[in-house]
Amino acid sequence: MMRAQPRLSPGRRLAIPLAVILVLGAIGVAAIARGPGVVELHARVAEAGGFSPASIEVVAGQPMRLRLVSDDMTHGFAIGKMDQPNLAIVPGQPVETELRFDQPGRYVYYCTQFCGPGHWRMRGVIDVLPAKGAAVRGSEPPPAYVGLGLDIDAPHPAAALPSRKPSARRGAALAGSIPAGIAAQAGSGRKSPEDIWRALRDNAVFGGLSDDDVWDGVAWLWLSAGSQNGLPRAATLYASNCAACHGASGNGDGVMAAFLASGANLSADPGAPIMRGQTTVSPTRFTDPAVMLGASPALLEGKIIRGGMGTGMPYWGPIFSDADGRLLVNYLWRFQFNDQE
Amino acid sequence: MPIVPTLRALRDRVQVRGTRSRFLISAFLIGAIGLAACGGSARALEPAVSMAPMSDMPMQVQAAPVVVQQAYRFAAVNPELMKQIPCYCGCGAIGHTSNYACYVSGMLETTKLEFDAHALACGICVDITQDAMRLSGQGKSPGDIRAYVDLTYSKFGPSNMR
Repeated sequence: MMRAQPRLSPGRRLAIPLAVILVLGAIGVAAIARGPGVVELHARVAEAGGFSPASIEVVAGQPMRLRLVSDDMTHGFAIGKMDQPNLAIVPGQPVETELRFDQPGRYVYYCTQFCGPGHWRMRGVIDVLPAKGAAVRGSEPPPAYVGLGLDIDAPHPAAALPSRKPSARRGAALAGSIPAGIAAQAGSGRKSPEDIWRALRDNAVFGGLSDDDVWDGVAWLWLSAGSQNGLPRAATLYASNCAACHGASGNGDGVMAAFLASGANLSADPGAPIMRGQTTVSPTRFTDPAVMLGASPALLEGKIIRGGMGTGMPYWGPIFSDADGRLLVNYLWRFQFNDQE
Repeated sequence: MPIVPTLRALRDRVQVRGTRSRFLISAFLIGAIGLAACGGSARALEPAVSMAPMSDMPMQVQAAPVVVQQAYRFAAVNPELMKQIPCYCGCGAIGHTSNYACYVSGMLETTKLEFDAHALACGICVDITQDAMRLSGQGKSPGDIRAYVDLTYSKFGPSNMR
C-alpha cells in the first residue's frame, strides 16, 4: 500500500537551496583556508601528540602542499636527507610549502626546533608511492658499520691513552714519516685511533718518540683525513641536534642530560602496571679518551645512524645525509684532538 | 577516518529537533566528508586500530610522548601480530625475538603483563610499531607488514628474528 507523500511546507522547500548554499559555502571557506589538495599538518610537543598526521602518502611526481600549523609553541619542519630549508612553525602564523618527491621511498619529516624532552620524537613519515607502472622502491645499500658487521653496542674502551690532548699541529711534523699503509688504514674508517697508535708505536721509525708524540701523529692523521670545509656545517649540525644531550663542549652535560640519567624504575604502587628494565643512560662524553679513542669512525657513524638501542639516543639514519653523518663524525674527533696548538 | 565519528558526535550534540535542521546538518556533513575525501594528491593517515586503555599502562608510559603511548597500548593487545614483526634496533643482542619483546617482558599471573622499559627510549622500536599500527589499520596482513618493516629497517642492522 502506497503512502501519499506529504506536501512540503514553504519552509521545507527553502531547506533544499539553503542546504546547497551551506555545503557550497563550507567547501568555499575550506578551499580558501586550505586550498585544494592541502594537507594540514599540526605540530604539538611530543607529549601532546607531536605531528598530526604522523603519516602521509603521496604518489611520486605529484605535488603535495602542506599547511603547517603550530598548536602550542614554535616548532620547526624539515625533511630528512633533503636540501629543503627548515621552516619555522610559529603559533598563529601557519605556513604553507609545496613538496614534490620524484623518487618513491620513505621520507621522514621532523621538528628542527628544540621543544622539550620529547623533541626527538617529533617525527612523521611520508610514504612516496611509485607512480602507476613505475618500479617499486628497492632496499638502500647498508652503511659501513652494517657491511663490516660491527657490533656497535659492544664496549670499546681504549687501553692506551695519551697523557695530554694530542695535537695535530705537532703531529704534522711526523707526516712525512708515516708509512703509506698505516695512513691508508687510518683513512679507511675501520680502525680506531688506538689501533693506529699501536701500529705507529710498533713501527721502528717511531721508536725514539714518546707515546704522546706518537699520539700527535695520530691526531694529525685523524684531523687531516676530514674536510676542513665542512666544519661550519658540522658545528651547526652538532649544535642543533647533539648538544642538547651531549653538551656544547661534548662533555655529556647538555640541558637534557638530567632527564636521560634515570635508570630502572618500578612503581611504588603494588597494584600498578609493572615496568622493568633500563630506560635511558647518560649521554656519551665525547671528551672521554677511553670512549672515543677506542672507537672507529664506522662505529661512531653507526651510533649516529642507528641510535642507541633503548638508551634514548635517537636514530638519525632517516635524517642526516651520508655526507652530513661523516661531517659529524669528523667533528666529534675534535673533542679529542687539538688542531690549534 | 577520525573525521566521521567527530562530526557524528558534533551532530549528536546539536540536539536536532526539526526535519529541516536534520536535513541541513546532514547535508553539511555529507559535504564536509566529501571535502575531506577529495584531498588532492596526498593523503593523511591516522591509526585506527585496537589499543589497550591508558589505565593499563605503567606511569612511565602515561608520561611518555603520544607515539610511545600508542605503541605500548597497541603492543599490549596485539601480541599475535607483534610477535611476527621484527625489530632492528639491535635488541637481538639482549634476547629480544620480536618487536613485541621491546614492550612486554613477560606475564604476571595469567593475564597481567609485565612491561619492558626498552621502547620508552628507543626510536626504531617505536617507529616499527607505528608502521605496524598504520599498515594493520589499512588491512595489511602480518606478512605484508613484516615485508615493509624488513625493507625499511634492514639497513640499520640485523633483524632480531631468524
